[in-house]
Amino acid sequence: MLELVSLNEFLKRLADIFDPSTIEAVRGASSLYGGLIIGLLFGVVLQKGRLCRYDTVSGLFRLQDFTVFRLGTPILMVSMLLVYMLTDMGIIELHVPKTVIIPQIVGGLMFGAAIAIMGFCPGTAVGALGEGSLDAIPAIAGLMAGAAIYADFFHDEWSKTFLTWGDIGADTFAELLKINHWYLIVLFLLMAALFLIMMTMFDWMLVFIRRTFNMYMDLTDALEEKVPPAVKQSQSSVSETVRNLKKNIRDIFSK
Amino acid sequence: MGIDSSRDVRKLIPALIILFLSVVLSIAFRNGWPMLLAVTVIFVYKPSWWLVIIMGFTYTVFLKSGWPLIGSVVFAIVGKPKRWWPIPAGIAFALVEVFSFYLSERPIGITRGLTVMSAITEYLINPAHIDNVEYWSIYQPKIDWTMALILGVILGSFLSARYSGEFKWMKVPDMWRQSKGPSMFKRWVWVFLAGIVMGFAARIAGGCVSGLLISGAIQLVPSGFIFMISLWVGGVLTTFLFYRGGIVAVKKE
Repeated sequence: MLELVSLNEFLKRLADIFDPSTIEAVRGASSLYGGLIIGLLFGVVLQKGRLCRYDTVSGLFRLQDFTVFRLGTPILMVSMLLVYMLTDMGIIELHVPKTVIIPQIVGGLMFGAAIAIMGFCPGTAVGALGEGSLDAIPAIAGLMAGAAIYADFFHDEWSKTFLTWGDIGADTFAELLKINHWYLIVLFLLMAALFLIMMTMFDWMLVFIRRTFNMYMDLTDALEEKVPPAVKQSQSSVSETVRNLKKNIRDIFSK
Repeated sequence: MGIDSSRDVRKLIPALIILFLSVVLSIAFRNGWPMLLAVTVIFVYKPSWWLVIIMGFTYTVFLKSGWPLIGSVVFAIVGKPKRWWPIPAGIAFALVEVFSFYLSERPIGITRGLTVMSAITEYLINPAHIDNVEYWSIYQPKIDWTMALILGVILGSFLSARYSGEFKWMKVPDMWRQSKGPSMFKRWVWVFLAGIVMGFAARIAGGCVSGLLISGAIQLVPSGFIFMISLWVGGVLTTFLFYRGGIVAVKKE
């Protein structure tokens, strides 16, 4: 049922999707300026952390490159600490998402499958477009198409049945277990720190294996910083000059 | 020596033309936006640290706020290296997340913006159809915070990549080329199919990596941890099924 609409009609629709009250203030949940500022900072961080790359994300699922783990653990640790600290001081408020167990397990499995093939999650697909990766264009088109398919064909049937299986409401662990949330935070911080140390040790182990078995393969780019080629070159050049000097001295004495 | 300096002068000519035009336009419209645009275009054309600071200063003058200047000075120093090491980058990410809680009173989430974008697309094509779909009463077809966030992510990533010289057009990623071949058509079709699955899955679960996993886990909500574990399991299983032989790819930089 596609019909050509006149330009006036189209401009009226365009004006209809814009709400002027969203550009009045910088603070607030609906402010467009706030979104732009946060987005600029978020884009810079994603690009500098090299998350907007197929190579990094795919390397994680191929068990070869753990940049995402080493970057993700400090995110969770620092922001959990700060968010709960500032909440207890009354500066910010929590925004707790809903927990529905079965759909989230199924959705997570599908989401993981898609990430493994695509190499982007929605945020990094958008960032990758800014970085010049043109394969983010079909990714964004596909994400919009997937959302439209769900809304048009599945939501009405599933909202009563499938999406309520295992619904335990919008509660945090602390509210469910009825204990002080700082116990859980300390426990999580300890576990995350251990995990981070284990990841780092795994990288060192890769370096160790590479040196002992003389594998000439760069499995992760973390290896590059630890084996600087310049040192080897300088060592070899130093030994060469020493050898030449010795030869010259020997020549002089023999004459 | 003389030839080189004349070449340098010749390189400046387009920048000077852009600046002159922008000044004329600014005076004609009695508004500063053409000059802001001109400085940004010159920065994108030839990025350097003093242009970052000039850009920040221009925005400070026209927006009457000190924050652009402070931000540009920090970005001029910190943004120059090609990458930040994972732990500092993670801490910066966490600060952005907390800043989003403070400034906009909501966690970062991208998929909501993409859903609203598809609602807007449907609205522009056929406005009458919107009322028939129950879901679009939750996600109304209005430009909102998340769409501004998406625009900001594109701009921020572009400026950052341009400043450190990382920006390059790329149709097929290197590791995909090593394990699946250099065909652009194959890559784009697979990405589109995976995008449909991902958009669908994000709607079932109620968020994406930034909106559900990170913002759920930092508030100690069960959903974030459930989503994290199932995402990891699904991703590893699919990788081993999908890439089979080509799973080990040697990465060169």
